[in-house]
Amino acid sequence: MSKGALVVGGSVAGLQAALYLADAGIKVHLIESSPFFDDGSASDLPRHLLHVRQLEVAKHPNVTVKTNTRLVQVEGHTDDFQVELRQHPRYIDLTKCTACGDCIEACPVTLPGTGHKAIYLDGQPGCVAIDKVGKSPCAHTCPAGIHVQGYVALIAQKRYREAIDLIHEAMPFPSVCGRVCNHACEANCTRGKVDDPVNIMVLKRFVADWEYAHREGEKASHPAAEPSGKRVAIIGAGPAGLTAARDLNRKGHAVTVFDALPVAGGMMRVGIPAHRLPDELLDWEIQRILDEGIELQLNTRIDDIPALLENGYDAVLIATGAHVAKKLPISNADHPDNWLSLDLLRRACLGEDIDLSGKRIVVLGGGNVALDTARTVARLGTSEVRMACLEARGEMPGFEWEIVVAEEEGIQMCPGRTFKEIVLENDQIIGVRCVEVDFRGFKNGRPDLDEIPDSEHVLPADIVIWAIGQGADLSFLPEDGSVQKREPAGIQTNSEMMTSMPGVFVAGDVHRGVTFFVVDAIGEGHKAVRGIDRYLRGDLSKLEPLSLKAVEYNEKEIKTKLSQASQGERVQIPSIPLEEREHNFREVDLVITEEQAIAEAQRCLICGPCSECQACVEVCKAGAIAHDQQETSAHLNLGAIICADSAADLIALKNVQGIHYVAPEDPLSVSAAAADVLASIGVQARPLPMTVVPGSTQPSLRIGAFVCECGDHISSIIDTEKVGSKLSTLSGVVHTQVLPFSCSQEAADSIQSAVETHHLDRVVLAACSCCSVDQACYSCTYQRLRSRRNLGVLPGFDGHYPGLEAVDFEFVNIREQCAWVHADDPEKATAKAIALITAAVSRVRGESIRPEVIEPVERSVLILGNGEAASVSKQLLKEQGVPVEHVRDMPAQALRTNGKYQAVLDDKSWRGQALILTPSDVEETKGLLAAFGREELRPRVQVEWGGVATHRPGVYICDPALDPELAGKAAAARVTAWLGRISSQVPSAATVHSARCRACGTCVEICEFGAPELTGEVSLRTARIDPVICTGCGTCAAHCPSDAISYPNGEDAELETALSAVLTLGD
Amino acid sequence: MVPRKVILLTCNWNAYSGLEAAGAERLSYPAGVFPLKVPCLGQISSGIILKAFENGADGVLMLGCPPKKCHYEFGNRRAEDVFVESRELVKVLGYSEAQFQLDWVAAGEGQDLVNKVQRFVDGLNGKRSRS
Amino acid sequence: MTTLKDAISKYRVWYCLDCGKCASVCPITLWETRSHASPRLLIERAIQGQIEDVMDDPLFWSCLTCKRCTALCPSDVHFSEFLRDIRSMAQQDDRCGECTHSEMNQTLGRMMADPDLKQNRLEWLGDNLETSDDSDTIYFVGCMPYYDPIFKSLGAEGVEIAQAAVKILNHLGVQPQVLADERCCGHDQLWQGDVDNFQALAKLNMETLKASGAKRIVTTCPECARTIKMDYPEYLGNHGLDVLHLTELIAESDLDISSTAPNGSRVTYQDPCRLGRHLGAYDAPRQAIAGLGYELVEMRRHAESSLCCGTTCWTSCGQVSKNIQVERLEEARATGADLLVTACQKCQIHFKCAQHDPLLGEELSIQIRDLTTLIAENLSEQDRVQEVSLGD
Repeated sequence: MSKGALVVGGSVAGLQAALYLADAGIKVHLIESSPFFDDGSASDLPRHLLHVRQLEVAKHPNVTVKTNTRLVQVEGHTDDFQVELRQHPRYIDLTKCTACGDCIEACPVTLPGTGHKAIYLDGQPGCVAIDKVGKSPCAHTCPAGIHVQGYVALIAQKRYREAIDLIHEAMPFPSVCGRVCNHACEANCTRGKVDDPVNIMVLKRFVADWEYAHREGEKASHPAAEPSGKRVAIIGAGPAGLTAARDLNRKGHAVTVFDALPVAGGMMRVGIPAHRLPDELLDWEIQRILDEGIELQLNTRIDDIPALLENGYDAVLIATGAHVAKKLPISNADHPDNWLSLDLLRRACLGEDIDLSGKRIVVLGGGNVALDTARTVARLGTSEVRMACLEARGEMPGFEWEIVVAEEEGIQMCPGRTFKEIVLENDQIIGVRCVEVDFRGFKNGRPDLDEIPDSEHVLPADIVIWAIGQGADLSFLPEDGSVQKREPAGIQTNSEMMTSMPGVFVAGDVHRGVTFFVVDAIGEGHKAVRGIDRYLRGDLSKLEPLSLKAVEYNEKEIKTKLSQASQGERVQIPSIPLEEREHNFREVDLVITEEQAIAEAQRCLICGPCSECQACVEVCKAGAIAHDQQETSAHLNLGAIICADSAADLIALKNVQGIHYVAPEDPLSVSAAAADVLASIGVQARPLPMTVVPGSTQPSLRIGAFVCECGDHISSIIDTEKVGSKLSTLSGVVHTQVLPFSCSQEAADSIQSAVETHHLDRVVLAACSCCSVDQACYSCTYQRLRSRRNLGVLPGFDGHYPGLEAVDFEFVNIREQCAWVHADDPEKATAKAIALITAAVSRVRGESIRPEVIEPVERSVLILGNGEAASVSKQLLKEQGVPVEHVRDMPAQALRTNGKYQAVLDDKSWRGQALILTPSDVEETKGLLAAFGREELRPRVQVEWGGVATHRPGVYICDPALDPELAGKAAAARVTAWLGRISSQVPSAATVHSARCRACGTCVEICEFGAPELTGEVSLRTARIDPVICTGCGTCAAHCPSDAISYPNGEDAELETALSAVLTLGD
Repeated sequence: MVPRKVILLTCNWNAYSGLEAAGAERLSYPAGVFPLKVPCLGQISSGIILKAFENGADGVLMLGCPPKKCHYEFGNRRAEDVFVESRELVKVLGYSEAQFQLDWVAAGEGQDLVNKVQRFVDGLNGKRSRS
Repeated sequence: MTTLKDAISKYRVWYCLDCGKCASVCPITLWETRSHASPRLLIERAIQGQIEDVMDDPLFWSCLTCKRCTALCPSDVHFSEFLRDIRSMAQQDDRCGECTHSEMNQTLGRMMADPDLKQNRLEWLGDNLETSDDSDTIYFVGCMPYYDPIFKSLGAEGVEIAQAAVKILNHLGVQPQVLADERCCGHDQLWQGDVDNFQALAKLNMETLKASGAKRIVTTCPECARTIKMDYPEYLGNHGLDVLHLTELIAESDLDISSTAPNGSRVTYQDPCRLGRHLGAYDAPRQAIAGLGYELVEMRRHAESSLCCGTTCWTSCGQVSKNIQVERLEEARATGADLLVTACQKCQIHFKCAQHDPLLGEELSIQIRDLTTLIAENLSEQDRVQEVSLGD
């Protein structure tokens, strides 16, 4: 086999090049940088003809089409190239998509630039494609792995239910993270680089609150998973533990959660005060998790992990968090009025009545826990609260916005201090002795600072509350160190979160022994579950990292995106007035309004652009969406490269010799290029693999009738069950079956097995396909070809089922012809479908499978005329090993006779399978054309194809007006392609029943292709139709007075049975 | 009333593509119109036309490729000859001109097809197969 | 429903002497090259009683029922009628001959058998043609209005024949009834064995004919004449109507034709099988031709021994038929006549179809006319009879 060829660009010219080479028998790789072929708007080729070409390419067994594919590297030259192709995923399974458009409807993302959705259909190949450059930075950042851009997009569309469900997939606590999240997503928001980032957190809170408001009725139920028979114990009912519990439960593992506290929720419940996170929301979210079927044991401290494993738990997850607040070892730090932040917060959160009126409080620490503590204290009656910390005002670890709020609430900030001692008087704390410092952060664990001389002072205080950091309590770990600790804090794990004790895993704050944010804990929970699940299933395979990178746009791109997006300003979080906050724990922050939410969501710059909202996945019944497809690359060794792509990043082709460049819309030059390639690849073109179909001639009694639902695009209107049962009553029908998607491989499989089981020799498939012929017509579709290819109706493909060749297929289109045009009247649509299918059944019942005998045809070319193009064609054809004869004399006659074209002059004659006319001037053109006899037989040039092909099959003309070099090459390429095609043609040709033929010549008069001729001596004379030339249109048959002509497609007898079936039914 | 049965004979190319487009665009036409597709209208013989009426068609509408746009170059021209011949026969048999017509539709012209089909059906205004 | 046995005895098939005279004149036997087809062989098979074999006989469907064999048969075996009847058995068996013209004519026949059909078959009647609703004479038009559009392209005469017939009748002082609801006479159905449709058609026609109150039926189609005259009575009982082919009527009447025929112009005449061997009308048409002032030059085979036009019932008109037609046309040309006249529009159609031949065209060229139109254009106005009543 010769080396293949690469064609770059799905342009009109690219398609043509691919077809010429493929027909000639060369393996062609056609790459197109976009997901769809060029729409040909720049060419004058009529749409429907381009459509046919695109489908012919898609179905050609010698063509491999790769869309979304770029040339990244090319080496070599002239006839030996090493190329590297990189294919960006389409995120769609081309073997499944039915182009029904449901996903496009569901997609919330519309691209401002093109106006199309993030999932769209724009020509051929006729399957949708997803426009996904990468992960949006927000989603990529979120530790919990929420499809952030997705729910933002859904909110912009008021699709709140879908939005909250999408969040829920990754995040069990939207209400929590809608309030207290550190929202790293916003920090990486693309818009944030040139403007204020989208206020993602409040959008999450908006839908969380929306759901809570609509919680009655709408129960977010999750399908129960197949029980795995494994049990998992989780220690700690905090965000990490509960997230893990939910994930594990959804994977079918039985989960028990233990917690030492009397309430579930961990830090969320006892660490975050109610003025930031109301209890009922949290409790509701926790309850929903438990309702999925999780056992919870409160007030249960676990001290013996090995015992859990011995007592029937297959795995244990440690998610105990970091609940131990630290103190500094300064004098009097042990005085009882030294409180710990976490203790106070826990007491407050559990609703203990604490009265601090008249007390002066100093909170030590500048982080978020310190702020929570201070703001909580401020609500317990005291009017004098200070926060003191090492860091300078600007460096305080707490959120700036909350520091400001704290100040508004009357808390005094005392930053940039180090604490020397707790000052006592009469054994009562009166203050904290501090020295102001110039703090430069921590150096290997130790603070790096200079004390400012003479700055010592005492901050007055009755109670000191320590909030300088928290640690994990690890006292419950086995003494023998079988669960190794981690330095400086936390527990040692491998990459899958498993500790040194097999089956024991860790997640959340306890992992590193420090406090992170809720969302981090949730992320850890997910991560631990991946490990636990693989451990429980004994899956030792390497865990594939998600390859999809975050998209990054340069400033220019961002500016453009910004200009196309909503110009609105970032929404501010509303809150209740200060006076209303005193002495109560009412939530301070309020939810934004719907209008604000929509406006904010519309500020999103659509980075993906696909938001991965999964809406398409939800609606696609064919299961064709594949968001996890990966970029692939291929290395090929090729004999030639034709570049028919004007734009295209062709850097790869720079300084590479021997590449054929053609204008994307120029069919003439592309033919010439194809000719050069054929010559340079220098092999004798091989025909397509031949199929010889045995064929029975007995009318069938074993018909299988299959009805496609097309998802529900047919079945929602046509009662497919009813159709099926009606069909089963028809004579000859021994099997009926309803298929969800007849164009899927699965459908082909079940048809194949039905054929075997029920010994079917006729199959009627009622779907959207409408013919069983190996051709793409103006109205054909990618799916119809796919379905025919799966069934082996199209020749030359692998996976062609044995047994199916002997089956005669009949297709009926009940989608476009019934379901979709009579949607208003399902009953009539169903009746009509039954009628049409019945017609098809009676059609195949009578039909006899004619054996398809493929006679290899001699490949030879006759060239007539004195134009320069002649020698060009002749040379190229010779190089391909095609026998060529060149005649310069003006023939008196040029005709198709006895299976060849023949030129006659006096007693001389020359013959060839194909004919190239190369006149040198207008006069010679006239003469040559005249030789064909009557007007209709004279070759008419087909302009769309570059003016070389004519209406006579196998006849090409190099108009003297054209550049002889180009024209000569073009003709050669087309002749080779034609010869390649005919030599493996599945005959659609008409045949003459010689005894019934009157040799009246009517067929000869009618056919303008010159297929029929009269042969034989007078009394035995009969018409003969050249199968190579005949197109099977059947016109001659209609006019034959003695009905002597028959042809494969739709003979009168068939039509008649169809007619009577249709007309006598349903009256 | 018995559903009106109209046989819509289309060629496989321009006209059929119009028929398909009508479906794809979810346009609608009377459900009594039954499409039968042949590779080319040129293959339709007067015999088939007569059989359609013999079998009880209330009307027969032939739709093919536009002039000069026949996929097979000459099929639609020949279809006209047959049409003229069978129109005479159908007339002598007592059918009205409205019940048998020949027209064309360009590729992808769903709306045009629907208009032509609708006009044809309206033209029958109540005519039964035996007028 | 006849059985093979019945048919054999009814049509004297028993008496076959196996002499083979039939085969010596049967045009099918002569031209059927694929297998040996001969009446004698078919009869042999029939007598052996194997109906299947008979139906498979190459002659079973291709026989022209031209009665040439019977005319020569020493034992007077009615081969054509025999075949006609056993073909009906084949029809029961869902077999039929090879139809032509995409089965158009068979379909037309079936459609006309539908009582609800309201034809529009009289458009050819011009104002210059006088008809009436109460005439004793009916001009039975036949299928001309249908053949007209089908065979116009061959240049065959169609409704002109009907127009000519009425013109002639008017000339004879007859304003015939022309029936709007006339049906195909059913000849082709009967001879192809489709008895059901034949009877349906015959019944419908008889009803109309009876209702018309006429006493006499004139046709220009020999098949209509034969069928109404001989077959209607056999299947529907005696109708007591006088049935004539127009040429017979002309022969009876003293129709004055002012000949416009160029001096010494010679014509030859094709005897339609139905008019000739079936109805025995050989002289009437010849008289009419003579009356036109033409010199009639007979072909080698004429009258009783005349050669069929090669096709019947719109079936099997392939190579064999073509060869018969070619043979006959050559015979006609051999007479040196400028004009071939026939009294059956089907003969004309078949010959004109045979002339449609890109390679033989010239060798077969001879003008072909129907006797009726030929006469009509030679009628002299002044001698027109004003009043004629049939002998009462």
